[in-house]
Amino acid sequence: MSLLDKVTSIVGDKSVTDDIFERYIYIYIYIYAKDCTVESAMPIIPDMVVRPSSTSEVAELVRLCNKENVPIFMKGGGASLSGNVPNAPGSIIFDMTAMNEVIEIGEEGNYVITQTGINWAKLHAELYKVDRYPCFRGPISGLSATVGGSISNASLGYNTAMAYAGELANVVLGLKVVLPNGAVIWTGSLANPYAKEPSHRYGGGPDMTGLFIGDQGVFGVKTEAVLATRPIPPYHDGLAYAFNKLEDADEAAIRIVRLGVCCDLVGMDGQLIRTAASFGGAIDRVMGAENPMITMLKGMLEDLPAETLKFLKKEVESLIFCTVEGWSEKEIEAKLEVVKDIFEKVGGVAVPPDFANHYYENGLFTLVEGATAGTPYLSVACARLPLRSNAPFTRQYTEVMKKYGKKGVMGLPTVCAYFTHFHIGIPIEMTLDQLNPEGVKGLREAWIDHRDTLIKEFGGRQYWIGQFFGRQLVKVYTGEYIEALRKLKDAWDPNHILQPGYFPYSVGDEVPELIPKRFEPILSQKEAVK
Amino acid sequence: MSTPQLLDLYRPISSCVACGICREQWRGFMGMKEPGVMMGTCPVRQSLDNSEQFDTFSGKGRVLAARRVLDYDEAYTPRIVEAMYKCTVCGMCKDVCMFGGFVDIPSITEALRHDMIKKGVGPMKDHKILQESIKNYDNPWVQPPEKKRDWIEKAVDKDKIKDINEEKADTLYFVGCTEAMYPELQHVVIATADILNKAGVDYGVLAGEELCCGTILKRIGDFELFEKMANDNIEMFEDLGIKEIITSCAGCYKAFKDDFPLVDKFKPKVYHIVEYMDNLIQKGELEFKRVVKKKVTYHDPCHLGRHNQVYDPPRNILNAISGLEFIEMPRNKQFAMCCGAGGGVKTAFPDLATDIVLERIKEAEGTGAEAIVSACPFCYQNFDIGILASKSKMKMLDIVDLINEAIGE
Repeated sequence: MSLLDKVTSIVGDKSVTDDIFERYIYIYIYIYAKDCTVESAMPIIPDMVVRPSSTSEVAELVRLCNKENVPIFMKGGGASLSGNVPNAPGSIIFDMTAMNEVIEIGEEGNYVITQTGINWAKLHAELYKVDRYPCFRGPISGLSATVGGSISNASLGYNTAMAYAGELANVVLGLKVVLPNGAVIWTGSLANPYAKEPSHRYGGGPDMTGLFIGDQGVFGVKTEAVLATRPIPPYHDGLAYAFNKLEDADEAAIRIVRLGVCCDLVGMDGQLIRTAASFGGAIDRVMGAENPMITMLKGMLEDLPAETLKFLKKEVESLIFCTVEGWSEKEIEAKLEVVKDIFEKVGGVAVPPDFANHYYENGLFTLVEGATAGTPYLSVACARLPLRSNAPFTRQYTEVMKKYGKKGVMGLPTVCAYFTHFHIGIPIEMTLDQLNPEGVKGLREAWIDHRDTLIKEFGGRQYWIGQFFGRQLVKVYTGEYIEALRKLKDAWDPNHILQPGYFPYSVGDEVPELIPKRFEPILSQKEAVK
Repeated sequence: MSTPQLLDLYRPISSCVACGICREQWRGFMGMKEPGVMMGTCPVRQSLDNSEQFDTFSGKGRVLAARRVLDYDEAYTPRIVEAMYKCTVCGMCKDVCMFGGFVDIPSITEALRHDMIKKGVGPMKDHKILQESIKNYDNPWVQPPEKKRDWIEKAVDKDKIKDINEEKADTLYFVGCTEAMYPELQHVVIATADILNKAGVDYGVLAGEELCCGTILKRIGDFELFEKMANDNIEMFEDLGIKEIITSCAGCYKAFKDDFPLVDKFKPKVYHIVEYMDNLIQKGELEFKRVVKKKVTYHDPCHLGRHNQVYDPPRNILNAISGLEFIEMPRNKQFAMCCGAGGGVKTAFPDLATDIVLERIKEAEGTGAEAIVSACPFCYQNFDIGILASKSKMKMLDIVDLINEAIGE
């Protein structure tokens, strides 16, 4: 009996495929690798893709793979910005998105139990029916990204409620996990078989839930998750202030974060504001004049006094918008007063709060519209950094972009979200023309330059681990740390069935070439067509 | 050949970041008007069992399949050929794509199908009957061409209908093959002619001399035959000095509006009947005198809606009819779910087309309306079958039926 037959006997013939096209579709990743074949660390096409629909199917599949020594790679939404792709031959991909149902909403207990293949937008939609939202609202890619994938990546996000809820790890109350040997466990309060509902994460020994957060799937297959939720408050309002110095913007943000009054606090690069205020320029060309984010920024700037507009066009380095939630209008007023006071003391200039409100109301959808562009080559380097380092980090990014600008690399404006004790920033490096090999090379160099500075000078970390960043972390973290993690992996998954070769085992530092050789004939052919 | 082929689309194909938001989009955030509704998704994917919904059945899957062919010259597998023809090219994936339409997934899918035909693995068996029929009979329905003028005999004021071949007119009412040849759809053509007569429009028809517009050929990837049909049509329109074309078929409209200009210079202005009637209403040249007591919902045909953004005219018309209660379905306009008939799906996979329309009928029933109104013969047919299959109490109407009823005698 072949492996395909055995897998089919578990999930049925409609839930498994070994078609070459379908296998390719599941390993294609965009960032850093336009082609999935080059170099040993690059994706290797799996032998099959399977869509399990229950925890018991996952457990049976894992037991089978362990017995047959078949590597397993998990797939959620599949954008895989960090390079979550197979790197071992003869593997199976588990497409987890068939497990996409909400199982239970505990209104009194403020929780939701959900299958992990659900995407954030659907989770929001289900919770919205009972006027609730998840305390962590999902990453920027939440229209596609799944809860399971986000937990495996210890996700952060630009969505609202971040400034006081923090990162995803803070709101996971428990997980149902299939271990590498096929055993199924609950972590958190549901580890107690007598528990009637999930209520807490800690108290049953060490934090077993934490082991699976940010684990890249190397310790188990998460099939269900308990997340904290809260009711949607009836009132909200926003403020937006522009600053002519990044450092001032950071100062204001840090003071506001300390008070814990706002649910989101996001800073935007002045370049974006200047462009919007000037009604044109490079951003329009890159993002498209009809880009909703630019249109909205333009709209909100339209009726400003001439003096403010002049300031925004020429001097502004950052714009921060902040939203507060409340259970009464008085609460909103009081919170806004506090925030306004801080902004003004640090020298901010008030601009209309439209964007803040739009951002709060549309959450997931806002920056997905804005942060992407029709560019064929794009390289992102989201970073986790201490709060105070936003300004120097952004300035360093600008310098790197200047350096590589001659090669056609263009930097998009940065956006950063301030949390309780750190911030994340999305500097996006890009080149506009995929037919320009110099530009692509420059993009790669710019990314490495930027990454090295982030880790070594600022002591920060990239947002993701994955295939690419994991290798860098192995190189810079202490040997003892890596060794401890490796021992854990060896004991937990002795056959290295789950996500083999992922952090802490990933090695090397090379980022693959962006244009593999086999592209060249296609490109020449394309040129000939022109 | 001027219709973009697979390699011509390399840039948009290679720009897909494979993020997967084209698989499904839910609305439920605070700012959304329709919480908890799946607004954007591939209708084919949605009709499959959850466990079968591989990424292949999404815009992402279709673009990456094209990529695999271009970058690796991969030989098509029967499974991928079938998957790529199981697409209604409704354009929902393109519309929800964060690249704002740059990654033109319907065009990429059609170009992929064209490549499949070139390599001898496409189209589907039942599509070949359409191709042969168009070659031999100038219509896809294996019927003698003269059947296209049958409807004229049944028209209300047939004497008022000019044969444009004999009597000059600037405006052509182009009667599509499907509406003219299927007896259950002829009422659409008859009503359209009646409306134009009552509105005093100086127009003519080709009276059975119509050539197929070729829209189905473009959709299934037979670009060669499509271009021949387009050129023949363009030549005929030029010879007759036609300045504007009105059609009541969303498929013909798509062909004239979007596809012909890619083939050659196409001078006539093109109107769908809903646009034409809306213009007359706005200018005060057409009045609805009769009260029509009905409760209806409107289904946006993909070729009219998402492909050409004709959203307001049919709504303006429905809202202008007194007595008519018009209720939107949760998924409307840009987010209207495809009925499942397009892109050659109904021909090759009729059961799939029915499965898809059943979902849409459920949504229509949820509005409490008694009838579904649309403006496309393919939607009409598919809804009709779905209503029958599901024993729904809803009725299917073409918008021209309502217009005609509201105008009165």
